[in-house]
Amino acid sequence: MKYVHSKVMVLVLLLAVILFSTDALAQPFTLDDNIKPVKLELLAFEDDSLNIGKGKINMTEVTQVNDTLYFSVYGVSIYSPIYVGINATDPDKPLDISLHKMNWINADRKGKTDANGEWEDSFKTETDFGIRVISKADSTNYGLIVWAGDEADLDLPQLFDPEPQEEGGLLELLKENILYIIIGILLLIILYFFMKNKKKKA
Amino acid sequence: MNRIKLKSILFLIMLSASSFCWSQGGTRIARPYDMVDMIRQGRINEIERSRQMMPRSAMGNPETIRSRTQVDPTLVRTMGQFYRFMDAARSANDLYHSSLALSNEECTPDFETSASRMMPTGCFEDNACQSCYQSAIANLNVIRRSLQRLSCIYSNTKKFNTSAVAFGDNVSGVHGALGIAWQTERKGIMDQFEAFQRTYDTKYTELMTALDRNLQSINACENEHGMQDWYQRAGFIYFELMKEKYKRID
Repeated sequence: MKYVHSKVMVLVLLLAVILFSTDALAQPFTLDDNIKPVKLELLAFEDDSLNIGKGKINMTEVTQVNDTLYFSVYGVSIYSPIYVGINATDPDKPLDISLHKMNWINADRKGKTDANGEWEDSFKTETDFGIRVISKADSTNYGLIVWAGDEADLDLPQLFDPEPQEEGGLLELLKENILYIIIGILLLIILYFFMKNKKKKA
Repeated sequence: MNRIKLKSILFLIMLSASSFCWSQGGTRIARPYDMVDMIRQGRINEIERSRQMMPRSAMGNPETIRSRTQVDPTLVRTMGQFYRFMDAARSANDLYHSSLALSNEECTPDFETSASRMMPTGCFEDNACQSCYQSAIANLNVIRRSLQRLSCIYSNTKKFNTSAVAFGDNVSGVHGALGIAWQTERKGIMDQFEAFQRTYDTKYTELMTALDRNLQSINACENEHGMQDWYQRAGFIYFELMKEKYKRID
C-alpha cells in the first residue's frame, strides 16, 4: 500500500513538473515585443506566527518610472489560495492595477490603490497569471507581494454508499419473522378447528 | 589609434555597466531570509499602531520595538497590509473556499459532477475494514484531485491556445509584414500545443493505471472484510466512468 501511495505522489509531482514546464504556452499571451513581464519567483515561506500555514511568497520593491509595468507569476495551483497586494509609498500617486489570465488586453480583475495607497485581491487560478501596474506619475515607489498558500484541504464528495442497512419498519419485522408468523397463524387455525370440534362433540 | 581603441573599450564597459543598472534598477526582489524579518516588522508596525491608540499605561516597553534594525519601510508596510488581510481571512483554507477563480472562463475543479456515492461498500462500519481502507481512500482522493487538475489545465490551455491563435490571425490580417512573422509564431504555438496534448495523454494513462491499481487495493479490503467481488460489481464501473470522463476527445 505504501508503494502505491509513493507511486501516486511521484505521479503527481511529475504531472506538476511536466505540465508547468511548457513555457511557450505561458500566459498571458501577447504579440507585442515591448511587453516583457518581470517574472516574480515564488520562494518557500513559512512563519509560525501567522495563521496561514506554509506557502510561497514573493516580495518586490518597485520604483516605477515607465507608465506601465508587467509582472508574471508561474507555478501556482488551482487548489491554492493566492493573494496579491500593492502598497504605494505615496498614496497621492495612485496606481491602476489589473490582473490578467489569457492575454494582456483583457483584464480579469481591475483596481486602484486607495487613500492609504493600498490595493489587494485574492483568488485561485492554475499555473500562471499576470499583473499590470499603470502609474500616471513620473516615478512611483511601491511594494508588491504575491503569496500562494499550500493546497487547501478539500472535502471531496463521498464515493461510497453503504449497503442498505435493512433495519426497522413493520415490513422488515414481517420479513425477518415470516416463518414464526406462518407457524403462529397455522397454530391458531389448528386451535380454532380443535375448539370447534370439541364444541360439536359436547 | 590606441587611444581610440581605449576609448571605445571604455565606452563599451560604461555601456554594459549602465545597461546592467537599467535592468536591475526597476525592481528589487527581497530574499527569503529578509522576509521573515519583514513580516515580523510588519507585525510590529501593526502592534505599534494599535498601541498608539491605547492608554499610555498599557503600552509596555516601546523601546524594545524602536531599537530593532529598520527594514525597508515600503516593504514593511506591504507586509503589514498582508498580515492584516490574513488575520481577517482567519486561515488559508477559509481564504481558499471564499475565493473565486481569477478568470470567469477558467476551469475550476468540480467534484460534484462525478457520480458521487455511486459505489456500494460492505465495510462501512467495520473497524478492521476502515483501517484497511484508509490509505487506499487517501490515494484515491489524490488521484481524483490530480485528474481534475489535469483536466482543468488541459481545458485552460486549450482555451488559451484557441484565443491566442484567433488573436494572432486577426492582427496579422491587418498588416502584411506582421503576417509572415505570425505564421512562424503560429506554427510554434500549434507545435507546443500538440506536444502538450501528448503530455496530457501520457499523464492520463499513468493516472488511470494508478487509479486501477488503487481500486484493486480497495477490492482487496472489500474481499477480506466487506463485499465479495467488489471490483466486478462496482469498482470496474467507476473505473470505466473515470476513463471516459477524462479521456481527451479532440
